[in-house]
Amino acid sequence: MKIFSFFLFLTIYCGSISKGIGQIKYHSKSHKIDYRNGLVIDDVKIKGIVTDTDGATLSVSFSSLEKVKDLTLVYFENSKAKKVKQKDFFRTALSSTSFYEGIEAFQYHLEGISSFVLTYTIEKEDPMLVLTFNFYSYHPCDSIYYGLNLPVNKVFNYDLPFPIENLKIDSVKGSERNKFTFSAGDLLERVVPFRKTNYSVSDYGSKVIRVQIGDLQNRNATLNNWYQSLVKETGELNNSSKNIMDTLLMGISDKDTIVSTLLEFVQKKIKYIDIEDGINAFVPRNVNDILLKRQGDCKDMSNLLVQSLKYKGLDAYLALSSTLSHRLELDFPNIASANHVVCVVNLHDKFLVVDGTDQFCTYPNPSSHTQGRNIFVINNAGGFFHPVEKIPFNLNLDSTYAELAIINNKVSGSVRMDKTGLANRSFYGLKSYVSDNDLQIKLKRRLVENYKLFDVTNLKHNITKANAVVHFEITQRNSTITKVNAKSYLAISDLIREWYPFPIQLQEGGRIITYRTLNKKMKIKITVDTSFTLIQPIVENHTNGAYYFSFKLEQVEANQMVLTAEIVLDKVEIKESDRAAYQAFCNSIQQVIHKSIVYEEK
Amino acid sequence: MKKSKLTRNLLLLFSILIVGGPLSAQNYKDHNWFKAVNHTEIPDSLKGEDAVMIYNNQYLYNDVVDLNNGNFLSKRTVMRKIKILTQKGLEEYSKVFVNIYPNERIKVIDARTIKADTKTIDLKSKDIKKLNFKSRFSEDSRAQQLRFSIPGVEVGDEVEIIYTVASNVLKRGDDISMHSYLPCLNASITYGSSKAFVHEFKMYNGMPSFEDQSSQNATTLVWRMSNLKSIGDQYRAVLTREIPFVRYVIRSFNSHTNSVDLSLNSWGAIYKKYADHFNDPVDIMSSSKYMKKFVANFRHQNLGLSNEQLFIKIQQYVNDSIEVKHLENGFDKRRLKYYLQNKRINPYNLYVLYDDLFRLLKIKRYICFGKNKYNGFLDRNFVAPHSIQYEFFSFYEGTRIHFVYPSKTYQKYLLDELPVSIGGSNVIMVDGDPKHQNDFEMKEIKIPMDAPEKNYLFKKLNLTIENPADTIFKSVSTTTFSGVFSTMYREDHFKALKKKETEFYAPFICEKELTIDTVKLIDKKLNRPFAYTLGSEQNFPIQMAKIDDGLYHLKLAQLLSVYSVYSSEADRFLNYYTRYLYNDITRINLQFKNNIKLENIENLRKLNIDNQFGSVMLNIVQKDEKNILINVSYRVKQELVKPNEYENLKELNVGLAEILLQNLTITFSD
Repeated sequence: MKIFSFFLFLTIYCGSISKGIGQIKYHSKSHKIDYRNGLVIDDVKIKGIVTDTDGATLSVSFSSLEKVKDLTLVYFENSKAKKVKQKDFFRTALSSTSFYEGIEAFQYHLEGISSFVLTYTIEKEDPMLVLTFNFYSYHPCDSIYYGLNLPVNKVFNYDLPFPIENLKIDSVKGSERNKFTFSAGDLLERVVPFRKTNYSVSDYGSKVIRVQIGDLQNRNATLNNWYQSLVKETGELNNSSKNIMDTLLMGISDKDTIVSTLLEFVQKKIKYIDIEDGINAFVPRNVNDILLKRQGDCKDMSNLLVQSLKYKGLDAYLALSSTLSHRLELDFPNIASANHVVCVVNLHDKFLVVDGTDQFCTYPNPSSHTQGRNIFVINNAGGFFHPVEKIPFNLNLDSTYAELAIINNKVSGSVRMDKTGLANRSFYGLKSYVSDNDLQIKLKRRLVENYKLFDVTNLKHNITKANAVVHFEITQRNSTITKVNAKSYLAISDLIREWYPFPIQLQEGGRIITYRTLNKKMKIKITVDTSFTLIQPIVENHTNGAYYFSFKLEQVEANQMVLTAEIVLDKVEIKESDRAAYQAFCNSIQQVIHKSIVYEEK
Repeated sequence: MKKSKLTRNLLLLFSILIVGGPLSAQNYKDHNWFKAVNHTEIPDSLKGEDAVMIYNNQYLYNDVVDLNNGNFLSKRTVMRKIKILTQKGLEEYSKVFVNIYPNERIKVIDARTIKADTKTIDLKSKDIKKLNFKSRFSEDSRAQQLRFSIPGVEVGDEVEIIYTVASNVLKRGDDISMHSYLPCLNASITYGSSKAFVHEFKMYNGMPSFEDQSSQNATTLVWRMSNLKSIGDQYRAVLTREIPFVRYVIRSFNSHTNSVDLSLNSWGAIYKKYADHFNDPVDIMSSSKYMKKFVANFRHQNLGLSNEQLFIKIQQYVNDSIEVKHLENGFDKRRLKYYLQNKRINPYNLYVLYDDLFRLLKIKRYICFGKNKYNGFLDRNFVAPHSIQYEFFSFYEGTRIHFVYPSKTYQKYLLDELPVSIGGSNVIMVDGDPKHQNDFEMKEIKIPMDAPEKNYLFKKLNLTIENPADTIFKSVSTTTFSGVFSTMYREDHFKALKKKETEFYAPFICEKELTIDTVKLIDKKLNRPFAYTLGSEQNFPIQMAKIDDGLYHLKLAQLLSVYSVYSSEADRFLNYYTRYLYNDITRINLQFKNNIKLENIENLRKLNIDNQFGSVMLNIVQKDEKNILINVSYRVKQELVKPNEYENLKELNVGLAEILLQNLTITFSD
């Protein structure tokens, strides 16, 4: 999975105080934003206090599309005010998750506890780069204020993706300029803008107002035309590039095959490298350069696909996308709502996502991280939003079949796993990433992780992009069967470790992103070395819309029982609104996982 | 996660480059490459690798520009060609991160991709990105990082990289090896210098002899090796104990008119350098009247103590009362009186203070020179200043040796407490007359690794279980941090306690998220092994699974957090050096309201593992009708693990995993 961080700096770092070292509390933070003479001027004033006895580092970060001016810090030491000018701050690069973003910061360290007032001005040339008003900060903050002063010929749109408590909005319309103010108090909660662990995401930074400052009343067209004008510079395929495409697609006339061949070419031959500095944070680089150097990021890969498809006569477009991990849905036309760019091809009256950044994206399915979300298609008619359908769960089959025996109270036997679609991602991903030697070692390590109570032997596999079949044998090292009053107890969780791969609890204020719909099937035949009676057959059924779970444990012969289970999750993202249904579904699974097989030998 | 690993690998691969000055990335000139040749055939034995280094050639060069001005030139050029064999190899070896430090500059940096048909794609210098990092702690220094991605690479291609680092600060000594983090078919080191330099070289661990290609004016020595194994994934190996390398030191410079001693070629000379360093030449800081009075006051309050005991008292006072921190310009060179009165001092002046105290108290003290264990041993017979990493003091109280490691801004060290990484390495102790460097006394000692009886985490947890259907249970716990655990955690824990924070403690007693109500310091010892004990109260989350009427499963993993050693899966050909020996002991008392019976005690008795490397033990007893006692111990007892013994380490972790997955099967009576 690639990390799509482009644009992100504009919303998180843009002219803001980023995380420094040490504890700080803000009393107030205000932005007075003025648009004059083709420049956006954001006057920022922060009043706060360093509450850490070790002191704290104040950090004002900015991108290469912004200029920081008139940076001044006034702090109080022994009741005396001391002033620090911009030249006394040190300027440093900041590391980011991208290969290169060009983000820098002015930093100053305040020793000990001290109150302070920090003022500075951020200048940027393009009003379309005013993206969000942020009503969160890394440090606890009592109040935040945004004032916007615009000439009347500028059209201002805004949107609240999520409610912001205590928000006050006001506007004054004048003959020459319009003024808008947004303010909120009591923002006492210290928030971390974005936190992600495995499948769980905490979007505390969703407390934003998305804004658009443009020239047209049609706000979709404003974004579309602005982006189109930037992309124009990236060029079309030159003769050398056309030759490469001609060679690649020689003898292929079927349009679907052209798309799938090109997608595979980009997936395999273009190395992902995210250099997202300045305007290239969201605009592709020259398409021929990308093809020559065989490297680029999402927008570069998508632009290469668009230009190549167009060259071959297909109807293809660039589209902005908000991937599943992005905190904002793409339902408002500004680039803070997106974090990704894809290619879209119009075939068979459908707009199909073609995403070269996802090594496992299989045409005509979308990439795993774009499914279930909107895209914004850039075209010559003002652009439009388009929903991307999620990949059906029946294409993502994840099945386990085991024939086990209980001999002398120890479990052993053979296991077969079959995986298709996105369920096969991890196996196919491994196969396409490492050498055959390493594949065997790493595959075994994964299986051992799931069968920690067992020795795993005789591993055999056949892994392709379409599906994976994996066989192995397991032998329990020590018995985990307990006998109480002639009954034998074997915990179901001892037999299959990974029943359900996603978090079973939705964190407060968070989401769960699965990146795939799930269809998990299990069948385990268990033969005991003596005749027995199954004391507690288990039957569980849970059906509720997108959630399905069934489980059955039954005795089929005098010395054999069969466990069958199926889990369907027809969702790729679990939100707050899904909480109750999701919890009931997980509880249903958990109840069974914690049960034991109870039988009595005859 | 992937990215951080990648970064690490690349940083390792491309070593450390050092450069300074406000260079723009665009200033790097493209290298004039030779015409590319056909791809090299990779031996079958290496076809399972992610990438293979075709060659790794290093050129080091030292020259004199102007002796009168102390102007030298040190250059290092590295040329590497790598064959990319897998997608993983492509990810890891085609993106390049180059660290650059002050005083040095990049002369050349370039890369290219060579296709199978010998066509090439060159890196353009404009595609090299530069990050300027600055830190408040070193205003004058700029750490830079260059980043570039080699263009046009696909699996099966070869990439070629060259860089040259230059400096006007003479590189007076270094350790150079031909091994790298990839298997390598051919490697070489070429050392060149002006004949004016007088060197000493020493080859270690079977490093081959050099070819002498020197001329009348220049020294040129070449070492070559082929078919080298990768040293990647040899976690906790000490490379300089096993990998062939050459150590060089420039001892002096001979011009037509005179000879200049450039280096320190005896332990006495090194001692003199450090002794001078701790003594301010203008004598504004040391042995002032104030200091004499300061010592006299202590003596007056502690009559009857020997000088050594008095030093220990004062050292304890300094540790307790004076904060060690970076001080801004102007505050970093004051008299010792200033620091003692203001109760803050910077690390350098703390050395000066201790040295002054030794002098005032007329205690014979040694300056000790040490090295991080994982960087190898200090060779007493080949004095190489560049290999010294730690300096501290020692003195004798009767026959007992004491160590004084001056505290750092981030860590306080008590008397006889040393950084964890020194344990198991050798230390050279020197005392003498700073004015006469040939008049010195030298001892070599090995700092022993403490046994698990001193290095331990001892956790006690008392859980009261009233109703098995509940999911939260009242509990109290204590944890004793002893030995290395005290050294590693004490400073942070005490700071957190001061700030009334509690969350730091949770990971020590439970793998799951846990909210600690209160944590307090119960006990602390100032003497080795510096054990301190924290106590806590919390609601403990446990889910007991009902499996039959009155019968429940309780998974052990819910009750434990065990500090285990990492074991990698890679094939081992170098020895594994344990960081420290230790014991992680957990003692849990489950106290039930009802009468209970533990049903599967027999199964739980068969899980213990005890091998040469260590042991993992589970001992469970039902104490009475209402109490179960659980003891878990994870003990590491072997200091050096040979490759063929490495399975023992893995076995221990497999055993621990199995223990954690066990269920206690408990019958509850009405």
